[in-house]
Amino acid sequence: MFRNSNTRILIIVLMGFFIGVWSLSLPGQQAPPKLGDQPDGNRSLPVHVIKLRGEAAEGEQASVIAPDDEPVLPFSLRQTCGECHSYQNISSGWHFNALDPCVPAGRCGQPWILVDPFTATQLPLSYRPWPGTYNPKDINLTAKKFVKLFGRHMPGGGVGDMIGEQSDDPDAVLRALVTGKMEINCLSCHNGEPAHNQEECASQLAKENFRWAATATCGFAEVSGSAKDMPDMWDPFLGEPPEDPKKIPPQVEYDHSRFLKDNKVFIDVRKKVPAQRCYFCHSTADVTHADHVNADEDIHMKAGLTCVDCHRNGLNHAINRGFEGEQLAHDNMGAATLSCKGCHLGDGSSEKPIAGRLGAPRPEHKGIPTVHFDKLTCTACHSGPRPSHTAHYVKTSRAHGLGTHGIKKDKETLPHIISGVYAEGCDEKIGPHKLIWPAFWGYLQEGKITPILPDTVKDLAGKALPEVKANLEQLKAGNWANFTPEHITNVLKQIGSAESDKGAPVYISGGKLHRLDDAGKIVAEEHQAARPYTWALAHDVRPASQSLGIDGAAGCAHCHTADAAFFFAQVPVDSPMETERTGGIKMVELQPGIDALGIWAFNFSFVFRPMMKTTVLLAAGILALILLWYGMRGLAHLAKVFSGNNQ
Amino acid sequence: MYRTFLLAGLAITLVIILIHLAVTRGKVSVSAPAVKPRKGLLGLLLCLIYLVTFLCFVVLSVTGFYPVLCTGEPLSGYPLMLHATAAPVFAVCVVLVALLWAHRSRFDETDWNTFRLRCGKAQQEKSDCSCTVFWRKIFFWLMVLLTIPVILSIALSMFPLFGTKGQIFLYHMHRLCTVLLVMAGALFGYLALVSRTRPQ
Repeated sequence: MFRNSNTRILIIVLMGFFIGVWSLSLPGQQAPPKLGDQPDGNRSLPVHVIKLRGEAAEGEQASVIAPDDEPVLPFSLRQTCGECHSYQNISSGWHFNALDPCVPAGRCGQPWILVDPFTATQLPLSYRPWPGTYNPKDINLTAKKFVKLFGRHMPGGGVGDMIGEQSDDPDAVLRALVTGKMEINCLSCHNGEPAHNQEECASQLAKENFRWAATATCGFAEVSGSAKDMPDMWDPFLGEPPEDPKKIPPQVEYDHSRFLKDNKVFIDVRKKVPAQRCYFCHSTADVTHADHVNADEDIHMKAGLTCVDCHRNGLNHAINRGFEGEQLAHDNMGAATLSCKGCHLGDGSSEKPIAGRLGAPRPEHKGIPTVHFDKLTCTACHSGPRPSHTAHYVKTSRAHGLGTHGIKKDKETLPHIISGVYAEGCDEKIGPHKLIWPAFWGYLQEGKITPILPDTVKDLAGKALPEVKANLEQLKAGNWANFTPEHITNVLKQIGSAESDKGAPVYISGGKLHRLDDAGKIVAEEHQAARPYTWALAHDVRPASQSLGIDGAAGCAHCHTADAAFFFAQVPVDSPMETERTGGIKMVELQPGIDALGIWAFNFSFVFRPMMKTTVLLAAGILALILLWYGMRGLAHLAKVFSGNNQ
Repeated sequence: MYRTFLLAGLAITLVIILIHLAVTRGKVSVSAPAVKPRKGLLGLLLCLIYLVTFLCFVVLSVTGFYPVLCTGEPLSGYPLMLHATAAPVFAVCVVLVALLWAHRSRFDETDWNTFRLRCGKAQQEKSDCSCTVFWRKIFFWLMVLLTIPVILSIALSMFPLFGTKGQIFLYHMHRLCTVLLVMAGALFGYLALVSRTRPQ
């Protein structure tokens, strides 16, 4: 059959064609595994006495860093760690993949918040398509600007790797050669060195020392100088200082004592990331009690777990976020079993019991009707601040730059984040959220709003903004100035007259869209863009004895009273205009599946609940007595009848 | 499955009533002695009790079964509040009905003979009046008996006694027992109307 050579050739070609088509249909191929990507099963961690390597172009061998090099260069984690661990695979992880449009966005998370007190801006940004946030690309916020603003609380990579990329501006490309990119800083998470200083990253980014930022954090190097001051043609690899002696180029000085033979350095790499590393970027503080003296840590931490016991990942760094249904968002093996329900309750349909991981106790939830588990998240009863009629303002690391030098510590510092807001999430369940009222200037065109960067607003309408002197106290505290409707009107007019082709100028604040009508007067109306942005919170988890609903009938009253904070607490409206701050919205307005009047009536009925229970139990008791009485009499009669028959 | 069970229960009840009507039409009214209705305040009070019982029965049935039959959603919102309001009233009414009817519903020689007849150990009776009364008594005691788990299954779930599995069990027990209670209650009510026996 195959004797004919033409037939053989045809068969080979066809086989090759089908194999090619099949391989194209496979999901995106990951880079081939390297030495460190294939563990042998030993549970101890390999000791990392390794050579530090500098930056290198694609395909080139990176040079080894020595402390007495001329010039002394920063080490590149991509090259150093990348020798044994695939940087490509790692960079597909959650902390680095925000720009990848193919990655499912999953549950809405905390956005990056662009704030500017002078223009009364607090704008939620995200590269992920979370509804209510704006993509930095859409508002001309370049990768470099983004990194300068927010890189202080980023582990590098992602947008950091995009500095100078995809830019039409040749100057931007040139500057990227000077400043470098902000590569993934593996040490941000995996460094067990007590002297690791993540705050140094923030200091270096301010000076545009992107290439040097990771080195500055490592704990055995110091970085000085500023890439921002260097001219476009300055070559960091030659290290020649600029002509102006006042401008100091970025320089690295290593601790010589750390370098062993062959310029190897011991790096205390931790596979199990210490909680301290996570806390730098993931801290939340009450604005009035930032010292955490009276705040208890998450119950899981007190029980001996660390962050990464639940928030795990493999080499691909697809870290498990831990929300219900996450396994539908991405194929992470731990996603289903490492959620609250997965660990504590397991999956009833599973053949193998998966509850109880890490010693997770199984909750009994005595007296809790099961409808609560359909309507509420686990965190609704177990996490965050308890429902309260007093608004709970917080600061977060990423929003307020906690842990970095020079931040404002006033209570009113922007952005204003309200915590403990019980709102409906993406899964249509009510749970605790953090909330922010967006405030920004923008253009409205065909129903869509495009925000305007604060610097642009200042350029277009700086004179119409409130006077600095009159608002000095607020601005010093990092709070926004007091705006009046006249200020808004004037700024909108100025923006409109400067750039009329981009759409109608609008200002979003206090849950309203403000625009000018045909007569030039300001009108406020509802708009989707003005709705508050919320994101679910899951920590700190309180112990079971502090959960909502505990203590029997008293526990029901945590949520089921006519004025229960869970439904009827006022969420204050945040706005630079005092006139808009007088009101608020009830918590129940953030719970679309709940009818306000209905829940009020239902909660009110709980007043009669003890009476109802007593009545029905008494009724059941009396009926049982009736049955018993007549039953006994019937039995006695039957006994007589049978005994009479026998006789 | 519960929906099927409910529909079957309601259908069986209706069929039994229709068959009984068809079979005994006229016979009961001829052979059954008339009952002297009570007059005065007592009569009014009794009427009120029966009326309230019936109304609560209807409200509970409609609010309880409508979501199952029509929407498929669990009972919630205003129907739930109505259900929870009518429930204790119904419980009290059932107690009163039980107290009023327990004595006349106790089994006697006639019932024993009827039972033996059904078991094939006695001769055919000339009229089926005693048969009607017999079944009326049966359904009465069934109604009283079933009311207890219906009440307890919900009342106990309101205390921190049962965990999630227990709550689910109590919920299913409540649903199951209410169907049987509706059947027993409907049949008792019907037979009480048609039998109209002299109080003993």
